[in-house]
Order: sequence, then C-alpha cells, then structure tokens
Amino acid sequence: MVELTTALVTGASSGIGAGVVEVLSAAGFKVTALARRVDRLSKLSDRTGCAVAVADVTDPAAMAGALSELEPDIVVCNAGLGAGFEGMAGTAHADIKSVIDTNVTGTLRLLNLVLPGMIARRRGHVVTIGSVAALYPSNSALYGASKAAIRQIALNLRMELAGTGVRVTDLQPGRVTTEFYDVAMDEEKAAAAKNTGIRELSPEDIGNAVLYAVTAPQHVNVMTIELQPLEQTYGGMGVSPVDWS
Amino acid sequence: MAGEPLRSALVTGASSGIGAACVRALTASGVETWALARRMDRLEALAAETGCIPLSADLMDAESTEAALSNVAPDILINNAGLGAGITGLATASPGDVARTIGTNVEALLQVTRVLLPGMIERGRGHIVNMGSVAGSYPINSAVYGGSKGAVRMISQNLRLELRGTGIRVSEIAPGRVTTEFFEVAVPDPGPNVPTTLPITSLTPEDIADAVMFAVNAPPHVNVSLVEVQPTEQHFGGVHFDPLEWADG
Repeated sequence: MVELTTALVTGASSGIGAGVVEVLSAAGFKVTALARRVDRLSKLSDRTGCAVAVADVTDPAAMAGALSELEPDIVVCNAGLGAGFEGMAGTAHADIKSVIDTNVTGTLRLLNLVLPGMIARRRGHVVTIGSVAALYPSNSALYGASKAAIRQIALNLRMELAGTGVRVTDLQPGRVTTEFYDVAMDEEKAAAAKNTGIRELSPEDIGNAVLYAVTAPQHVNVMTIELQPLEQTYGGMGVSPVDWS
Repeated sequence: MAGEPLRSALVTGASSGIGAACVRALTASGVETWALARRMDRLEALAAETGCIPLSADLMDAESTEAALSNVAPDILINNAGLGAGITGLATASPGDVARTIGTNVEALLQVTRVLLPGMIERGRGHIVNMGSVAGSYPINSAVYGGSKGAVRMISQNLRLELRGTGIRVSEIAPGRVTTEFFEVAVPDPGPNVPTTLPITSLTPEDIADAVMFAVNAPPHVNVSLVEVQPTEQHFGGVHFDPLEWADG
C-alpha cells in the first residue's frame, strides 16, 4: 500500500493554491507551499504549518533550486493566470507570453523536474488545475488554449506513466472566488467581471476535490473532476448577424 | 428556495454492481432510497440488507417504467442502468444487441429522467447523476457502447443548460473498468481476443459509489458536473498504424 504523505503546491500564495494548502494541511499532509510572494507564504505558513519555497514557476533556475531538496509525493500544478480577455486581436505579446509561460511551460517544466523522482520512488500523484475553459469555449482563445494544453498534458501523462503507479488528476473548475480577475484585467473591468450575483466556488471547494482525488485508494485514479457553481453553465448558441453590404 | 437538503433517491439498475453499491452508500448516509431493477428477488435481498424500497420495472418497456415511477418523487436520481451488448463490434452485433444497449443506456435514461424532471423542477430541488463511461469521451473500440455513452455525455451537458435557474444539479460519473457482471452479460461467449478479465486491480462498485457520494454530498452551491475515475493501471488512447495491401501495389 502506497501512502502519500507529502505535497508541493505551486501558486500557493493566494486563491486556489492557498485553499489547497489549507485543506491538505488540515488533512495531515506535509505541504510545501511554493510561490513568489514570500510575505504571503509566511502568513499561510503561520496559519497552516506548511513549509515555504520561494520561486517563480517561469524561472527554470529558481525552480530547479527550489525543488532540489524536495521529494513530494503529490504535486499540485496550480500556478496560473489569465490575460487577454479583451480578445486575441487586442492582446499584448507580453500577455500571451506570460499566460503560456506560466500556465503551460511552467507546468511542463515543473513536471519535468518532479517526475523522475516519482517514477524512481514508484509513488506520486500529479494534480493539474485546469479549467472548464479547456473544453468549453469561454471567449478567450489565449486562456482557453492554455487550459486545453493542461487537459492534454494530464491525459497524455496518464499514458506516459502507464505501469509506474504514478497517478494523474486534472481538476476543471468553473468560477472560483479568487484574485484571478484582478490580475487579468484593469480595475473597472475586473469589478464588472466579478459581479456575477451567484454563489461561486471557494478555494476550499477546490481543495476538497483535490483531497478526494489524492485520498482515493491506490488502485483508483480519479482522472478528471469538472465542477462549477450550481448557478453557472456553459454552452448555448449565439447568432450574430453580419452586415454583408 | 435553493439549498434545501436532498433526502431521497432513486437508483436504476440497482440489483447488482454499481447500482447496488450506490443504494448501500445512499441508505448508509440516511437517504431514503428506491431501488429499481427487473430482478425482484435481488432487490428484496438488497432491501432486507439496506432498508431500500424495491421497485420492479423493465426499463426497455416504457409503460412498465412509467407505472413504476408514478408514485415516487426522489430528490436524487441515479441513472445507472446500463449494459454493453454488442461491445465487441458493430459488424458482429445482432439487431437485438444494438436495440438493448441504446434502449437501456440512452432511451431509458432519457425516459426515466423525463418522467421525474417535472416534479424536481416544481419542488425546486433535485440532483441527476448519470452513469457515463470513459468510453463516452475516448474511443475504446466499441461503436455501440461508446456511442451510447457519448450520448450520455451530451445528455448530461445539455441538461445542465436546460435546467438553468432551477437549482437542479446534474453530474456524470465516467468510470473505467469496474468489477461487475458487465462483461458476463455483454459477452456471454467471449472469444480468445476479448479481455473479459484483466490482470490489474479494477475499480470496485464501492469506488464508483464513493464518486457518486462525492458529487451528491458537495455543498449546495457546487455542481460536480463530471468525475472521470479509472483504475490506476488502466489508461486510454494510443495511435495505431495498420498497413493494408493496396491494389496499386
């Protein structure tokens, strides 16, 4: 019986990452919280007893350094951000770079660093934080592409890791109350984007989904959990007449 | 008002496998549960064990189904009844295989849901849990079964939209290989190329009931729309090259 006891959570200084750290710590896991903002991590550590690692997931040297002494059983690839919600036609190059670097390349590089140890120890659980935007068009080519990449990373890792016992779970949340929109857009647009009038998911809801997946019996791989607010749905059909004259 | 507790459930295909495990999990957590299936002897044994209420109906028979559902008003509907007749290939499937798989997995699921939905909408509470399959999202080499579960996938997703504003939740649980009677029923006479048993630790019906209860027990503001759950030792996908002999050499 493989018992997973240690976890690394990226993007841990706020939002979903901090929620996952809180839930896993409360459940008895020994958690290392990784992020850039050391002051926030210190407060999280005071609250939860987690260990702290300071690094930027887009900085290969910093990540290699931060992970050199760590052998986490569970890695929660959470660091991510959104930008370009005004549409690809109006998105700055720097925003494209930062979303893909953080959400996609950062995740791949992190996995590249932790997987050899997991395979060698024959124990491990990779949890990616994807999004409903991976499957359902939500009007952002950039963000949707980055999360669709996460979905394919998780699905293909399951094949790459066949026979190793290392598990992979992709969580695909809908709207969660975090600082996501404050980072993604200016203050006025963020205020509008956040004003949904519904009961959104909390970071703790996502933490509980991670906990369900990582505490499943070892023969069970919870591959995907898609969850969203009861009051949020996806899809529909639009018609937008064009002036053909 | 949204957020009222869900206190009762109906499980289809409850006489064995995943359905029976769901009945056990629901009754154990204090949910009044109707267990629907054809095999009354099995249901009575399950009732004696769990306190569930047996409900006999043949889901392939619309009148029998509607009659059985006429006096029940469950908060939670677990659309579990399903089978895999014709799973080894459409070219060798019988007309009855196709009719039974589509009739049970797709049509009966729609009919049971159709009968129970108006009451849920009127009461302003409900949770529909559809038993899908990994075969609904990933090609596993079975047009009939994959087609039926692909339909379940789209039924689940579209119901979420149809039920906007009603407070009714819709979840789909999509398992990989589970140890049940599924293959004995689906492939009564397996040839050497049909893997009815696998050298891995498969999921148990209890593992699937755990996923169902994860969705059912989520806080009222949370809709768990999909849980894909597989044996750690099973994966899906692959790329194949199968050279042909060509007429033009």
